Amino acid sequence: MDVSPFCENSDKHPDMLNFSSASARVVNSRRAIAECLEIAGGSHSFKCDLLMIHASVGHHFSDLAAEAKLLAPEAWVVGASCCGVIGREGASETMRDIAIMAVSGKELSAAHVNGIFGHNSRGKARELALRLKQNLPAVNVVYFMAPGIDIANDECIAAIEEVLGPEVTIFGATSADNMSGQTSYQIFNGEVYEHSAWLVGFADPDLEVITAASHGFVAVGEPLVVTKADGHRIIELNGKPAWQEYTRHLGFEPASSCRHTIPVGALAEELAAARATEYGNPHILRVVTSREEDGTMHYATTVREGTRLWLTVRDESRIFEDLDRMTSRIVALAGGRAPVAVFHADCLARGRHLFNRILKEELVSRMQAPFRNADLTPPWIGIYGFGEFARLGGKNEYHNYTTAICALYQNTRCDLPNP
Amino acid sequence: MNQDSESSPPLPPDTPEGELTRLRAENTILRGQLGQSVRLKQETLQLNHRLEQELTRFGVMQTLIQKSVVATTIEEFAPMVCESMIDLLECGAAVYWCLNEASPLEKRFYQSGLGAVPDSVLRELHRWTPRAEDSNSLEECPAAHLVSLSAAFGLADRFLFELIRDSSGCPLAVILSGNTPRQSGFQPEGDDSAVTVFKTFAKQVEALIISIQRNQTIKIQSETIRTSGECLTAALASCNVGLWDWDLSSDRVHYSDQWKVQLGLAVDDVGDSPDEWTSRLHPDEREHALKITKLCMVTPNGSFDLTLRMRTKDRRWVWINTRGYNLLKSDGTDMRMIGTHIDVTASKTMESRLIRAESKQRLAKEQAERENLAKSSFLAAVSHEIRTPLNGILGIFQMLRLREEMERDQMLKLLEMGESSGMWMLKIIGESLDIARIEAGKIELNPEIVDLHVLLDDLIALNVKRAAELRLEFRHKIVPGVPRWVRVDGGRLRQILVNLLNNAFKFTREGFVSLEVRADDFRSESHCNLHFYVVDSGIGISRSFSRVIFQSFTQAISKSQSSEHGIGVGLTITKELVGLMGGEIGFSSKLAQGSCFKVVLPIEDLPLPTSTSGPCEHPKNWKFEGVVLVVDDDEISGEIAKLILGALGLEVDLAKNGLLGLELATAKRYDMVLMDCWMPAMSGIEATVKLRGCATALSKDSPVLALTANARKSDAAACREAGMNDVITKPLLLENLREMLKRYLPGCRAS
Repeated sequence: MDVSPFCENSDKHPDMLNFSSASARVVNSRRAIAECLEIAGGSHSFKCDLLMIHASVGHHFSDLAAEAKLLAPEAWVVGASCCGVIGREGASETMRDIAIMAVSGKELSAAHVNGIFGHNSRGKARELALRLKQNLPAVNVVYFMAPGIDIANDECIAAIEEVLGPEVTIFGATSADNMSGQTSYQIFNGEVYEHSAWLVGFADPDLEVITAASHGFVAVGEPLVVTKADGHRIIELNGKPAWQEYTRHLGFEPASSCRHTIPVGALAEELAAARATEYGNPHILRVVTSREEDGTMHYATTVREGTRLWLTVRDESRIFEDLDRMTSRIVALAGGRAPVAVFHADCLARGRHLFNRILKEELVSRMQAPFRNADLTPPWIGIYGFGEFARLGGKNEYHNYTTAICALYQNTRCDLPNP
Repeated sequence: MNQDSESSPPLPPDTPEGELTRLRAENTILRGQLGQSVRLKQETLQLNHRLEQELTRFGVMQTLIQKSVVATTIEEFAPMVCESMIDLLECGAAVYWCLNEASPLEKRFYQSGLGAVPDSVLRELHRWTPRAEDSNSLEECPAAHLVSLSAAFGLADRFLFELIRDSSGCPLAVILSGNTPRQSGFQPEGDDSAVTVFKTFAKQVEALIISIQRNQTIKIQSETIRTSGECLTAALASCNVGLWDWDLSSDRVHYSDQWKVQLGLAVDDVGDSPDEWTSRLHPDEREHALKITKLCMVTPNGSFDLTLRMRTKDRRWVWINTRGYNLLKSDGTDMRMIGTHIDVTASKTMESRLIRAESKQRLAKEQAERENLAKSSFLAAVSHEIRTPLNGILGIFQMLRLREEMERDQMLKLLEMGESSGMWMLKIIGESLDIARIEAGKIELNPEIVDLHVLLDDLIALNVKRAAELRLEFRHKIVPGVPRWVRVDGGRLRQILVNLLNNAFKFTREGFVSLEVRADDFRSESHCNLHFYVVDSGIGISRSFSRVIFQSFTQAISKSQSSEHGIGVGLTITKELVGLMGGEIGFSSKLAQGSCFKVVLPIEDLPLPTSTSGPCEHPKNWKFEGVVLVVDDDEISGEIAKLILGALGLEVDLAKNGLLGLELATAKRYDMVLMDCWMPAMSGIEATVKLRGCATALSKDSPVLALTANARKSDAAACREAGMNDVITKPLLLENLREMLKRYLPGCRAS
């Protein structure tokens, strides 16, 4: 059973994927799953083929995974920890939030790889993509979830594109905790992991995907120059231990943790002019998710020596303006259609640590409003994670500090090029 | 770059390099200020977030309060507390540990996020749990020990626990919260606000538990009240008692459902106005009822008890007993009247019936007394009526003894008078027996073929003579068409007409008495109705007497005023006999002008017989031949029978009881046996049975006639069943005896 009006198009193909979503704040992790399934499908035992779970890090992930597998034994169960969730019901960032997206249909599959870190991101991601491709050769869009800490996301993208092709849209997020930078969890088919990645693939030819991201930050001052790096790890900035230099510029003590730096310490990399136009900003942002004792910082992507990194300040008016511009662009590309589902990834730093509740709710509302159909928000699952995957300039890209949207539309495939 | 400005020597400010250095320094300051500004803004955000968190916590507590409303037991409440603690403190585990009176801690707890707690921890925690009388708080547990307890619990830090007490200070439970090592890293460092929050939460939980306990008490009391209420309602319903409750201050009345039911009203038919009551009162009782209730209304502790009629929904009147009690106190408070409302229509109806029954009983008693009086009068009359002819008979016998040589004419006159007195007595006895039979419902008819014309001619002849003696005119008419041969109880028909004619003569001093007989036109082939009219020009019947004229023991004129004979049962017997024959009797009368009695009888009309084998005319001087045995224990009866039979030419033997009679009849052949029924030694019935059954008895086949004073039909049947040929009823009348002798003695001849 599917209660979503977005899944009830009379002219849709019978094999087309059906989406339904729910979100809730429930302390008991097992009951949380059951309640969400009831909301999404009208019954906690309704059948689906994929169950995607985003849950705040305070949840008992073993219970979540076990209960999900118990209630949806035939479904792929994938999940990730996060700082908060966004659902049709809005955003919430407590330690016991949960959001699910249940998908029914044959043209989907999922794959998983464990033990992925920054240094082996490419190989593990390739392995992951291969597994998915083996299950679902005709995949045309993937949802990628990687651990938010100690990961080289650009390597992951490259590896997936190598296997599935650069034309396949990669959307997704990196799992997170409550911004403390301790750890993050992934769920795959009843098991809980800390350094694993999963990939969900859709091969529904009737589905069209549009993704976009925006951040609204402004780079300020002189850039910090990466003087020593190793893969995604920045060892020195301006010739000094990276963390010390970074916190010094932020005005924090070196003993500070990422909890302190993440909200204010977005680092900006320059974008090529063409991509900057689409982005509405000359810079793409990166987050430092953790540090080592020697001051080495874990960067979100591979970084080369000589890369210039600017500190940034957020500009609320730009944040709203960029968001509006982004959603308007998606709506325009959709040509007036209502999406059948929306996958949403938001930076945890754009949550309660960046905006007060009123602004945040306003932001979420303005984000969802353009996608509503007859005042109903489509099935929606959002995650406050460490990073976001969305296409930029026609290429798959990893982002930080952005709001990233992946809207799925039913056929009548528009001829507009996928950004 | 920064490091450059920090390491290079100062340059003169007026050189380009100096200017650059100055600008760089300013830039550094500005960047620092910008960073400071960002941090300040972030701190502001964090504060804002804290505030939001507090609001969220308030919301969590509010949710707990709302949820706890439905919790009626600790088993329901404890999990709510645990989950709220985790939500509130964003911690990893929470425990609600119940205490009981005997042991401060029992091994019953509710937890969320924890695994099983080892017993060692329970024991350790036990040390720090105060007894009920102990005021020590758990907070006094040393911090270092808390850490060890935390570890034992499997918690990392922030091990918080608090004692929950009831309103009397008695420990009820311990609540604990903490983080597992896995989750401890997610908690912000140095955030002590959780302790304050936890303590506040504990207070809230304490208040909620007290509330739940109170709710439980209230629930129990409510249940008790509800049960009592249901019992009361059921009792009132089963007793059909309605209630009303009148709030005098607002002038509103609550009428119970039963109140409405009693008046056939639906629950919604009745509002809360006093008019709902007054408007349904019977007009005859409304004013009185209002007066009484108003009086009660102004009287503290006043009460009233009224039984009045009220109109139901279907406009019937029912009797309602309403009792009211005024709760008004002397100080003017509690202006309220309450009362009951009971439908007493059934008891009222019963009461009316009782009154009517009592009235009937009284009338019946009076009637019985009257009848008793009448019977007494009757007995007096019978006594008088019997004594009078007896006086005549005895007087005649005394005269006969005194005047041994009396002249024949004088002697015949005396004998005639004696016979008349005897017949008078016989009539009285006959009427008395008839009345007895009527009262016992035993009177019976003996239909037989009767020559109606002969019967009427005899009657007319008799009354012609009687009228002449009384100097009255006797008119008689038998209208043509009256059948001659009919099947009827001739004796009873004669009795009916004789009674009517006797009355007519009795109450007519001058003028006439008439008898007319006619058959009506509506006759079938075998039946017709005979109409008998007995008319006189006598004193007439008063209106009052006409109502009781057919009742026993009534006479229009009291004995003291009348010179006529009679015991006042003639018309009663007549009416009964007419009814028995399927006929009707009626009369009309005018005082001082006369009366007319009419009797209509259905009669079976028989065809004319081809031979007149019926009763034949017998000359009074018939003589018989033969030997007759008379068996009677009464010596006089036996002797009279012997004299009469002897006078008729028969030889007679006497036997004094059945046994002697049987011996004689066995040893000698008799032409006839006259057998009394009731006798000592052997009854006539038994003697006859034995005689008929004795093959050697010489009189075995001789006719045996019962000579009995028992005149009932059943007695006659018993006699015939015993083998007797016929029945002669005492007293032995010559005419009847002749008839029987003619029938059973073949050798009769006219002398």
